[in-house]
Amino acid sequence: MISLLLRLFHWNILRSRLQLLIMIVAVLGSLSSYVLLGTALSEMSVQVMESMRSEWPYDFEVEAWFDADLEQQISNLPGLSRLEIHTMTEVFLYSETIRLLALPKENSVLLLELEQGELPTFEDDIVLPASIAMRYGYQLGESIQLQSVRSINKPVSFHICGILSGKKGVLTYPLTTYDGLTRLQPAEKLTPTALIQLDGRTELLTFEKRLQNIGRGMSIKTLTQEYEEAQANLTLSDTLVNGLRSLILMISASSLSILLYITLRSGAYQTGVLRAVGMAKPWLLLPAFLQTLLVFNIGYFSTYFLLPPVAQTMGLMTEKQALLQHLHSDFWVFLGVGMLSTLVVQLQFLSSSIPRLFREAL
Amino acid sequence: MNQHSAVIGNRISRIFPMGGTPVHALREVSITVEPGELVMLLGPSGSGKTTLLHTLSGLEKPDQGDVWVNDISIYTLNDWKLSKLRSQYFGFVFQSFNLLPTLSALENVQIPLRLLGTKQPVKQATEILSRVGLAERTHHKPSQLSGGEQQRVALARALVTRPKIVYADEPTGNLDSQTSLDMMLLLRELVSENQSACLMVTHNSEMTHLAHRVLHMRDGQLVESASRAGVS
Repeated sequence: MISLLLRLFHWNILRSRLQLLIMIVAVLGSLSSYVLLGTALSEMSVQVMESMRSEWPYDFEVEAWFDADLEQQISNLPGLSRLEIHTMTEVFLYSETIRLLALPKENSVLLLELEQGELPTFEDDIVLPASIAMRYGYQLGESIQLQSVRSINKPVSFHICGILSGKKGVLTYPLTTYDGLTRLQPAEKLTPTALIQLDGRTELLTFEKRLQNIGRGMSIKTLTQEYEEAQANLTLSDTLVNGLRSLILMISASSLSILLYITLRSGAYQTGVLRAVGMAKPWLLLPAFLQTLLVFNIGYFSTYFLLPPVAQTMGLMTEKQALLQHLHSDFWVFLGVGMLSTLVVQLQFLSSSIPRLFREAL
Repeated sequence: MNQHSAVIGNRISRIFPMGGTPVHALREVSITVEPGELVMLLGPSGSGKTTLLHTLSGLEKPDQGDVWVNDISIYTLNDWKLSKLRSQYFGFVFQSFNLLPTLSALENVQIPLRLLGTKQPVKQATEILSRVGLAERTHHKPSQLSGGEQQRVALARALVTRPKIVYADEPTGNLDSQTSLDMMLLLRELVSENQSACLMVTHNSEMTHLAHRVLHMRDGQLVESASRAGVS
């Protein structure tokens, strides 16, 4: 029986080579669009969400003595979009308490656009945000006295080497080097702070619980109200992305169903004969499913090789590996839809009486 | 019901809706075919011959009446059981030769045997192909065979399971007159050898001398019956 089914599968393929080719191209086209459009729209929505964030675009501040293990544990938490470890302290500037940051690493999301001067290099260099420079009348090249809130040392003098731009989104805290910070507070008392940005989909409370579950004596501070707005925007764009993806899926399923039906119609007489001589309907479903599997697998591998260069041509930022991961996970959705379409079309076709199959073929 | 009859149709009616108007393809037709009997069904186009054949062979459910094979009312069976019954008891020969084009003659003949799970299907299929004179053509694809040869393969496929009854719908419709006669003689011989019955729909009244019984249909009813007891 198996060999007969395999021969029927062979017959299915051979009798409609052109339709088979068209089906493969249809799968290739729709799967590529599904993955590329989905990825592009997701990238766009994340960028839009990030552009709506303030100059301090983090949702949690976590103080702890971080080691590689703890950093890894936090990085692996679901819902985390970005993790940066910063060193900072609080200082008095006249009667005001302000936060002073060590120059962040290169991969930071903080925007450090200078209006004048340059970023700090030496331990006595400092860059002031435009708002503070304007409020207290500081100029580039002048000195500024700061005193640590957490120590009783005398005020320390810094040389203003740069002034940050006052544009929206640019950092509004002063910046120095790590050594500059240690002039105000001993290194052993400078607790690193993990700044965490969420993906816009996870609830703040849920994530906070996940952080608390790690333990390790962390001090957790939830920051943002803007996160709710970001969440709302992302939900809207997610709805859009899902809507468009569903549309692609529906178009793909419809076109595949039509192609499948045309293929089935071309073999209606033989199918009628097979049923007449005693082949039950379920046996006829198997070769059709095998055919769909074949079409989708060829479509998948073609897409696998074509997708990265196409994405590059389109200027997508997503890395090749991530793109192929999208393809891999989206493929199962696609295959499910393909199998379902096959089942529906086959059931509809096989529900015809045998004489009707004969008549349709004539 | 007579358990020994090959098939019994009891007051079968079939109505097709044609543009809202019901057309009576069969009107309370009753028919019995006995084992070893070759029955020909004649009549003009649209008289209901093919519909009767489809109904008796379990391909098309009647609106009224029932069909009995081996004391089983076949339309009470589900699709799976009815398919199995067709493969066990019925053989089919159609006007179009309806062989699967990607399979060889031998593989086409094996289909019913494989559906029944028969042991040594190749041996049985080879034997019947030899019997229909195609021993040298077993590995040929249908496209490599003539019309007459294809119909002989179809005949071999219909008879390879030694069915209780063979249903033939215009089996010589696409053949020339000499090939048609050869085909009919072969069919009659094999049916007789197997002690199978045969119900054949045909337009060809020249062949009626080969039948044991000839039935005429008109407007969905059997209107005339002639027995030819002397035929052997």
